[in-house]
Amino acid sequence: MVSPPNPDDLLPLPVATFHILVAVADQDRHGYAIMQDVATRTNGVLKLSPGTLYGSIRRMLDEGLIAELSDRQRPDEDDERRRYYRITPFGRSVAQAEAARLATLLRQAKAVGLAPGRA
Amino acid sequence: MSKSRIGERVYRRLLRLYPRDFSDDYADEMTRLYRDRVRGEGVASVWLALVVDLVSTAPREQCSTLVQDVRHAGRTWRRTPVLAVAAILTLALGVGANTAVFSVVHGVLLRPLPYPDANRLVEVFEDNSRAGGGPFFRVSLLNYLSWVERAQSFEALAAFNGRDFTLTEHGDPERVLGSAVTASLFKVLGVAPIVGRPLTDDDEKLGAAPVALLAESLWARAFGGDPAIVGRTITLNGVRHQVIGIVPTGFREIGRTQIGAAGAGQIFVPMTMDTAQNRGNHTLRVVGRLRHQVSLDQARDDMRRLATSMEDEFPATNRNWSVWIERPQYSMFDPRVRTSLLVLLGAVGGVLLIACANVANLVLARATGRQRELALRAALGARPARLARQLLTENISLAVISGACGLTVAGLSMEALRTLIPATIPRVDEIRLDGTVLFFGLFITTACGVFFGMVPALRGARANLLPGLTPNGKGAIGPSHQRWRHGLVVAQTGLATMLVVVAALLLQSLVRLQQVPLGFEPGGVLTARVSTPQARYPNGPAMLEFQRRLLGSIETLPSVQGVGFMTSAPFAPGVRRTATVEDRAMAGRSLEARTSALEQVVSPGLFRALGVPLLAGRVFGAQDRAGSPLVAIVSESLARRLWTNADGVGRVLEFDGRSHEIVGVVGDTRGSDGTARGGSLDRGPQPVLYISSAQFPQGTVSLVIRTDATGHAILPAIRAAVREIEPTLPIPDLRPLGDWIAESAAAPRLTTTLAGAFAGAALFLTVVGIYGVMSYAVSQRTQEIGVRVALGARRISVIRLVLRSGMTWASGGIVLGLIGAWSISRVVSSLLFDVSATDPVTFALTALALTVVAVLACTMPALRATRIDPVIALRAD
Repeated sequence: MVSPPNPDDLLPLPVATFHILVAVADQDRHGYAIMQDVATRTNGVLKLSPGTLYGSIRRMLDEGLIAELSDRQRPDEDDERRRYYRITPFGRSVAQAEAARLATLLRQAKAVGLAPGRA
Repeated sequence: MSKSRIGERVYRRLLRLYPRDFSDDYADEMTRLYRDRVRGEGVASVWLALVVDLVSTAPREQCSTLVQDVRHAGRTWRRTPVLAVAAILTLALGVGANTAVFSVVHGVLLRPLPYPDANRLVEVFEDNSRAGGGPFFRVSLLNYLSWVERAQSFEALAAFNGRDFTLTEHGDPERVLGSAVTASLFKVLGVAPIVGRPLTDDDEKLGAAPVALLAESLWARAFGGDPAIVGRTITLNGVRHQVIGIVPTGFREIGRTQIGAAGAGQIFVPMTMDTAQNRGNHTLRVVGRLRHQVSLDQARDDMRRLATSMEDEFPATNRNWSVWIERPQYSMFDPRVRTSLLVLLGAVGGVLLIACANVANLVLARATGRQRELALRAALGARPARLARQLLTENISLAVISGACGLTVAGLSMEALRTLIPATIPRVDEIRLDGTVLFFGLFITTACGVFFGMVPALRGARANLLPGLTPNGKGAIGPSHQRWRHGLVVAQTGLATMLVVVAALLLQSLVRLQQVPLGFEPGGVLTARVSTPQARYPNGPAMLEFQRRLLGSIETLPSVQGVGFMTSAPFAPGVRRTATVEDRAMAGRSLEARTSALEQVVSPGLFRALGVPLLAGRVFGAQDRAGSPLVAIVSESLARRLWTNADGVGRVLEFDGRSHEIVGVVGDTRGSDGTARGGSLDRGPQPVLYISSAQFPQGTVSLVIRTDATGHAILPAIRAAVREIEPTLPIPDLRPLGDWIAESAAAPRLTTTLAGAFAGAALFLTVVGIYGVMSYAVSQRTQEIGVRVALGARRISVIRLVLRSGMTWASGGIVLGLIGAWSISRVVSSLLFDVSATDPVTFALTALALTVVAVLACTMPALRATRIDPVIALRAD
C-alpha cells in the first residue's frame, strides 16, 4: 500500500495554497468567499484571480489538502448551489507545518535584524 | 440581453482556453464568481484583471495537465517494458533511417547553393539532342563569346574548364586540381576573394603575366594561411605565376561535371581567349546569372532563338546544335542520382510506415488489455476527451523518445553515411544534421505518434463501459478494432511488396550492368595521369621525346606486357573533347556525312595495351610521323554512323579544318561518354576518332599499362621508372583501371544496397506485423476454436481456418503492392539498365515470395490454435 503522505513533502507551499488553507481553516467556504477572505486579511494586497484560485483548488483536491462538500453538507442558506471546500486533517497538518516553517524563518530574520521584534 | 449577460457569455467562451477537464469542472463556478465580482467591482476593472488572469493561468493549467499526462504515460509504459522497448526500437530505427536519408537528399538536392541569390544561377549547355547527342554538351569558346555579346537574359556569363596543375613549391611536386576561369566568374557567383583581388579582363588577354588565385583550403594547407603569399610567385606546371588572391571555399566550379572525383578546384588561373580555334570544339563549361525578373523558361527561349540564328550563321559547326539551360542543383548530377535519392527516400518512408503500422498494432493490443482500466476510469467520471488525450499523450511521448533515439542514431551515422556515398556525387560535404533536417525528424516523429496514437485514442475514448467491467473484459473492443488491424496488415504487405519489387529490379539491373561488354580488357591494366612538364619540354618534338622515353622505361619492366597512352582512359576522369567530323565525299549521299565524335590522341601501343580489337586496316605505326600524311582511326560505331558499314579504311575525314585518311577501324569501347568525370557503364559506346600522338602531341595524357603482375606489387617499380626519366614528375591516380570501373558503378551499387536493406527491413517488419495480428486474432478466438475442437474439428481444419483469415488480408496487400509497384514503374525505369520496370517474372516471383513469407508468419499462430484445449477454452468464460 501507499505510505501515508508526509506533510513536509509539500513544503514550502505556494503562497496561494497557504492562503486558501488559512481561509478554509475555521469555516467551509466557496470560491468567492475564499477570494474575499484572502483580500480582507491582506488588506487588499493579495487578490487571487479566478484562474489561480481554481487552479490551486484543483491541485489541493488532488493532493488531499481540502475536500469538496457534498450537497448534503452545504450550508442551508446557500441557494446558488455553489461548491464549498473544507480543510482535511492532512491539509491542516500541512498548514501547521508551513506555519511552523515560516515562524522559524521569521525568528531567524529577527535574530539578524531583518525583521522588527526580538528573536 | 443585458451587457452583463453578454460579458458572462464571452467569459464562458474564453474559459475554453483552459484544459477541457478543468473548464468542465470549474466553468460554472468561475462564471458565478465573475457575476459576484462584476456586482462588487464594476465591469471594466474585472475584465482587465480577467484578461491578465487568462493569459497567465490558462497556459499554466495546460502545462500542468500535460505534465500529469506525461507522468502517467511514463508509469503505464513502465508496466509493459518489453512492449515499450520493442516499440521504441522499431520507431527509432525508422525515424533514424528516414532522417539520415533525408539529410542526404537535403544536403545534395534541396539546400540552396551557397551563393547570394543562388536561384538566379544557371548552367548553360550546348544541346545536341537533334543529332542524338543529348542536351548536356560543353560549350565551344567561340559560341561562348558570341553568347556573351548577344544573349539578353544574363547579368553575366562565365566559362571555365578543369586543369591539372603540378605545384612545385616545397619538396615533392604536388598535383593539384584547378580550373581556368573567366574573370566574370566572380560576378556570376557573387563571391569575392577573401584576400587580394579578383581576376580582371586584362588577365585574360593573350600575353598577360601569369597569375593565379588559391582556394582557402590550399592556402591553409600549403602556405599556412599566410596573407603575405599574395603578391609572391609560385611555380605551376613549371611556370612562375603571381598569386593575386585567395578565394573562399564557396568559390568553386558548380555544375555538371568536375575534373577529378569530387574535387573542387584549388587553383584558379585566368582563361586566355585564344580565338584561333574551331567553333565545333566543345570544351568549356558555362554558368550564368539570370537578370532580375528573367525566368528560367524565358532564358531558355531567348537562348534557343539565339542558337537558331547562329545555326544559319555558322552552318558548318552549329547545325543541329541548340542551347539548354538548367539550374546547377539539377545539372550537377546525373538526373538518375536525383531519381535514386527520391526512390530511396520513398523506400525508407515505406519502412517507417510499416514500422508505424507495427507499433499501432502493439498499441492496439495493449489498449485492448487496458479496457478494464479505461472503463474503470470512465466509470469514475473521466470524460472521453480526457481519456483520449491521455492515450494520445502516451503514444506521442513514446514517439518522442523514439524520435530522440532515432535522431541520435542519425547524427552518429552521419560520418559513416558521408564515407559510404560515392565521391562521384557532388556536395557530399554539405550533408549534415542542420535545422531543416532536425525539423524533418521531429515532424515525422510527431506524425508517427499521431498516426499510431490516434486510432487507439479514438477507440479507447469511445470504449463501451459495461463489457470492459465484466470479468473477462474482452467485449469492449470488437470488430472495429479487428478492421483496423486487418487494414494495417493490408497496408504493410502492400508496401513491403512494392519495396521488394523495386529492390529486386535494381539488383537485376546492377548484375546486368556489371556484365556489360566493355570493348576492352580491363584485367591487369593500370592507368595514371601524366603531365609533361611544359617548362622543360616546351614544344611538340621535346614532348614526344619525353613521352617516348617514358614509355620505353616502363615497357622494359618485367611483367609489363604493353604500354601506351591516350587523352583519357575509359571510366577514369580526364579531358573529353567532342569534335565535329565530316566526310565531304559523302555529302548529300548520307544523312550523317557530318557527325560529332569524341577525340582521343593515342600512342601506337595503346590499342594493344588496353585490349581494344582491330577490326579493319592497321593501328598507328612508326610511319605516322609529324609531317607525314595525317591519319586517323575510327571506332566501329563512328564508321557505321558515317558509312553504314564498319569499313571506312581509305576514306578521308575532315576534322579541325584538316583532312585525315582513315587507316583502321577498332572496336567500340564504353566509358568515354563525353563527361570529364569518367564514363558510366549503362551508356552505350560513343563514336570515337583516334588520332596519332606523333602528329598531334598532347601534354597531359592517361598512361595505360598492361601487366601480368598481381595486386599493387608493380606500382613502386612504375614510379621508379618514371622518376628515372623525370625526378620531379608527380604520377597521380596510378591505380588499376578496374577501380575506376567499380567506382563508376558505385552510385547504382549504393542505391541497390540501400534499397535491398530497406526491402529486407520491410519484409521483416511485415512478418512481425502479420504474426502479431494473427496471434492476437487467435487469442481472441480461443473460445470459438475451443468449441470447434470440442465438436470434433480436425487439426488441419483449424490451421486452415487461421491461415485463410490471415492470407485473405495478406494477399489483398500483395495485389495492391503489385499495382503500386506497377504505378511507379515510370520513375523506377530511369534507374534500370536492361531490365523492364514491369518485368513480369520479377513481379510474379515477388508475389510468390511474399505469399510464402505471409504463410510462414501465419503458421505459428495457426499451430498454436491447434493446441487450444477445449476444456480450458470453454471454462475461461
